[in-house]
Amino acid sequence: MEPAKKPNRQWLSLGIVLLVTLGALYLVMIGTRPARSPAGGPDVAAPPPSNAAPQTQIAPGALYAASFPGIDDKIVALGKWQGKIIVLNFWATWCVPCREEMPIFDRVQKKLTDKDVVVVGLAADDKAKVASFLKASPVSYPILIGDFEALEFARRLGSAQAALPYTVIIDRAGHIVRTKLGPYTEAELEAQIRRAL
Amino acid sequence: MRFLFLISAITLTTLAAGADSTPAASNSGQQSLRDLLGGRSEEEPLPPERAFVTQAEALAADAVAVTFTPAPTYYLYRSKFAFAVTQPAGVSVGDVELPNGELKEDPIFGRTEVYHNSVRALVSLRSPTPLPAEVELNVTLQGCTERGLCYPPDTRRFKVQLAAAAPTQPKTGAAQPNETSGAATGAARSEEPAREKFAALRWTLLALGVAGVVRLIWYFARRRRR
Repeated sequence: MEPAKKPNRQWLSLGIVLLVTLGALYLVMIGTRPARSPAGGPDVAAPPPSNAAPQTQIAPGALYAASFPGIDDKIVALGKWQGKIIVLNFWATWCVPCREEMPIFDRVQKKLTDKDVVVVGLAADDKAKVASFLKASPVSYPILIGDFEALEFARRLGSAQAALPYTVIIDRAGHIVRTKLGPYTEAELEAQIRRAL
Repeated sequence: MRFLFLISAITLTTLAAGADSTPAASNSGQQSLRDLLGGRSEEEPLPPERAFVTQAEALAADAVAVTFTPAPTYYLYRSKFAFAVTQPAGVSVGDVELPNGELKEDPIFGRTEVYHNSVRALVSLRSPTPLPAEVELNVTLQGCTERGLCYPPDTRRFKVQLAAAAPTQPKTGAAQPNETSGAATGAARSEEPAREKFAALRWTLLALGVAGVVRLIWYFARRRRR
């Protein structure tokens, strides 16, 4: 009796497995946002989702074209650091965790400067506030002033609510390889940058 | 057949666990697991209008009460509140009464006052002429979460009927002085149910995956006995 029953049960099992697998694939296809795997990774060609989910995939050209004024009012495009690992940190003077995090970026930047790593602090703030803050707490890495545009840019790069601090690690080819919402510890930041080297 | 089953079950469990990879979390398996256990990602902050629920209602012909209710683990800065009448011209904000906040140590700015719980600001209105029946009030707020995220200063616009002291809703579609409110947050709001739906699906798939594994073990056990 057992041998006669077995094939039936096997087919039923196979059917269930197939159905569930298809369901899972469907879910993954519509549920996953574009992966930020390094260039050449299998996920890069994944179609963008149709909903308004934050996207962190942005063409390297568009990323490098983004430009903001520095403290000296000179406009600087991110392309200035093309070929380097760019650690783009969104911050603001109204964001205490951002300010607390800045010495970490400063130390890591100094430590990895010979590895072609550049930290860029993009302030979502006006120039006067940024200047007076930096006077009291200077950092060795470049600071750009983006004001509201910085918030928009942060949204475009994946911080849906424009919450800060938000950090984006861009590899030498201009691909975003890592994003982080919230403050870093020094060890975590260094480890993530080293992974992008 | 057995192997097919086992592989499918494991693949499913993995897929289900990884399906909600948000941009901030997709590289971390640990995050996905936490996602799964906790329902929604810790990495996703609430949209500002849910993080800091704000309501305005008339208290008297010349006073408006603005109530701020931060979500749990979210807080607002006392010094960042601002109130301004935008309509009609001539009406302005007089005294603003706010209860004392909790003291928070700011490593750079020293002691600051914050509110973790609902707080009500009493905003008095001034006008050289008799006060109108309706005013438009801009309310600015700024806050953070205990896990170290801060929201940009956010200005919300309210139409307050001074004659009828009824609660008002933020005026939608109004010009916003900054980008935080309006269309952007509207989009975030509509995104919410979809995400919950995915969570439910993910749970179902995980349960099916686990059931598959259990069934396989059972199958093996039975075979061994025979």
